Amino acid sequence: MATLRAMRLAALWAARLAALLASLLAILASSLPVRCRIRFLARSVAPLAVMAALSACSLIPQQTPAPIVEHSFVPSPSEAESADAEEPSSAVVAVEPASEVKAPRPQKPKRRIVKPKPREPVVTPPPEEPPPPPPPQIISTRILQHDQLHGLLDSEVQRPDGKVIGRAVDVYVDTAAKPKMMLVNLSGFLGVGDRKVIFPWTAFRFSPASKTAPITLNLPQPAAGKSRPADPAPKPQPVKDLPPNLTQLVDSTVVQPSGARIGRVVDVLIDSQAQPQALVVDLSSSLAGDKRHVAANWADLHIVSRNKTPTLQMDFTDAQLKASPTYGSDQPIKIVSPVVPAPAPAAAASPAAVSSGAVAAGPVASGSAASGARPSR
Amino acid sequence: MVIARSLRALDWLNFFVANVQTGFGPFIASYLAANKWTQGEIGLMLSVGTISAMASQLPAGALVDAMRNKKFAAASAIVAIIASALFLAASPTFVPVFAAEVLHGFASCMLVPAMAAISYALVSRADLGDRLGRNARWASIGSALTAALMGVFGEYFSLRSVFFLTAALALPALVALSMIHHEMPPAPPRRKFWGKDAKASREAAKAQKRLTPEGEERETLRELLQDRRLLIFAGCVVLFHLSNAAMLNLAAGEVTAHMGDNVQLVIAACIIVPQFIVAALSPWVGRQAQRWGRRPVLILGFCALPVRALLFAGVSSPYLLVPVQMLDGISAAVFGVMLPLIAADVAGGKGHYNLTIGFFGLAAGIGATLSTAAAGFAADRFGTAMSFFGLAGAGALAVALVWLAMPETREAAPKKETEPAVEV
Repeated sequence: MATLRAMRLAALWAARLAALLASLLAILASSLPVRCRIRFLARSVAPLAVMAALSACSLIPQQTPAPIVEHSFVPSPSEAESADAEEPSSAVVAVEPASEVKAPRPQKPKRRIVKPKPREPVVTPPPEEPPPPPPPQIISTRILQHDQLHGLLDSEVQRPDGKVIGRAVDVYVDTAAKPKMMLVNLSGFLGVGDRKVIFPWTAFRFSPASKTAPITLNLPQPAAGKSRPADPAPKPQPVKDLPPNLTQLVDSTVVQPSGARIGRVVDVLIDSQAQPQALVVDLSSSLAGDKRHVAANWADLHIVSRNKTPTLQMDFTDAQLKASPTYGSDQPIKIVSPVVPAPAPAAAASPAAVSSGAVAAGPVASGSAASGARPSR
Repeated sequence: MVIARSLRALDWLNFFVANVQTGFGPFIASYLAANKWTQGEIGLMLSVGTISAMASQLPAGALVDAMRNKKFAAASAIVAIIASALFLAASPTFVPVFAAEVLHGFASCMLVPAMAAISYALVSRADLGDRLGRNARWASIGSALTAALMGVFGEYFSLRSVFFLTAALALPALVALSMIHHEMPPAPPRRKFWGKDAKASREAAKAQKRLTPEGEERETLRELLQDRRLLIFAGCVVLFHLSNAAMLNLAAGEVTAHMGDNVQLVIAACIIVPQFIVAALSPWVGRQAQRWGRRPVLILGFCALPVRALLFAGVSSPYLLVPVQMLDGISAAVFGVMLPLIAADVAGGKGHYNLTIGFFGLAAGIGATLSTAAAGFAADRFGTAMSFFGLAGAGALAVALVWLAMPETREAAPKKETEPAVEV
């Protein structure tokens, strides 16, 4: 019995091992030119996939390839379309709740004014224009498209030669809320060998509209394409070498000046000038429940010291948060900032319609966007 | 010959189950990150997975012990794993992922002992080493191929597709399981569970409550826990994993940090090559464990650990990691065969076989968790080389523990015995 099995084993063993070795070789060989193949795939398939994703996202299909921020608002079709996109959701999100809240006091439903921000591209959607009685305006929004801003979290980071080396994870800001360092997860294989390192913020170029990796790790010379892996100029530093006085953004809690919790940062939106434009804040208090994300204007972020620890603070009131439009990857990005002269009485009960209506879109939208975006890689 | 067919089916069962298990693990972190999970959320979820896997080792082992039908135990575990893969693929949101982590944690803790129990039921004690060697071989072939296949899927399709692949690969595992006929030919009256004589067997079981499903006298838990061999080997397992678990990740992280051209390829080779070593060595390990006894084989396999850690500390070129990783194949082969084998020595035939495997699994989980934490901390604080030295130290301790304290657990095997058993 034993010898019989041993013989059979030996025969099988030899045959199987040979086959396995052959297949291993094939695998290794096929993974060598992976990059080339991927580029080929990207060229042929990605445009289609991206088109599909774009149309699904109700983005304007063809924006100029390099969107200068002011520029992209000039084309009238885009403006019209973004205004269209803006219309229904703003009706849901902002107007009705506000009217509900204030129902006792003024008779008129409140209109939300989208007020132009001075420095940045601004859209004033025409249909929103008539605000007959100027009721207290509590928030202002500006609208940007997804090809002008890119969420930092999990954006691919590539070398200038197009080799993707990892994905962005986090930003560290100094006490003046200036981004200083980026935390990048250099990726291994199937999660094995992932390593988180930090790079100075200035080492990166951002191209939000890019169909490939949106973040590029700059190398000093453009001729670096053939540089050996040894060392690209900006050395990755281990996280422990982080300079002091920097604050991590993602997963940090944002508080009101009163100290009340606003929410948790889940993403940072960066424009093509490497300037953060907004924090995406998750207003929901538990991980398990429905999520409601709001894009809060970067300029309103202050780093304050509370109990000796730097804390993210924004000047939103509860009412302003409630009135804020939900951030979703399938809609134009509406960046909210609080309007200072907001009358205090506005802070009142929560209109359930807001959160439920707004939240319903959240997880679904992000799921579909993720699945839509992935094949284009 | 029914038994030969069952044994071949068992090969395939090991193969496909390894496929399924490969998809869980570090890969989930990448998948969640790709779905815009923040690091905090991912860390939380991975802890949930770790905790549920550790917490369910003992209950799952005891449950398998209590179930008469080990095939049913294995089948339900596989189905649960399919379900958790589908949860993960369906929606990377909190609730499904949480459910998947918990479900998978428990199911895999049932699956490992159940498969060992099936092997144990199919072959005689003297052949168990051989059999476990074959199990380990097929499992490692399965996980090597799957790692490669998953890499391809993740690269060309989507990370999500990997979970569908996982679920699909579990189906043949069920088929293979169904082809195992687990009537034990020479053994005490086996009762069957599927179909007609199930009722009769239930009555029979009622008649002999105090006996195990195999008709053996059940050892009390207290006796089991006072077994010196059990405790010492559990200590060895903790130290083994304390040394082993973080090693590849640390070394691969060094490769990644260089941001070279072939990072993924090198790391893939570091994962896959040792699996083939395991495939080649495991049957030999099983045979030698029977012939030489457990101790020499254990010492050999455990010695590979500190050597590998020291080599990792010294090697600079990423390409040299691959040959160093071949040592991993040696220790993994030894460990994979010896764990269920020693569990059988300690508790086999006394009704707590699966619980014992669960106990060792818990020890492995503790060691692995400590290892990752400690190595990460040491690498941050003292540098990677020091971290490797620490891992080497843990490995050396493991060797020392085996050498000095671990008794020979092989029983004086009835046949095949060419030399007197070395009893300590």
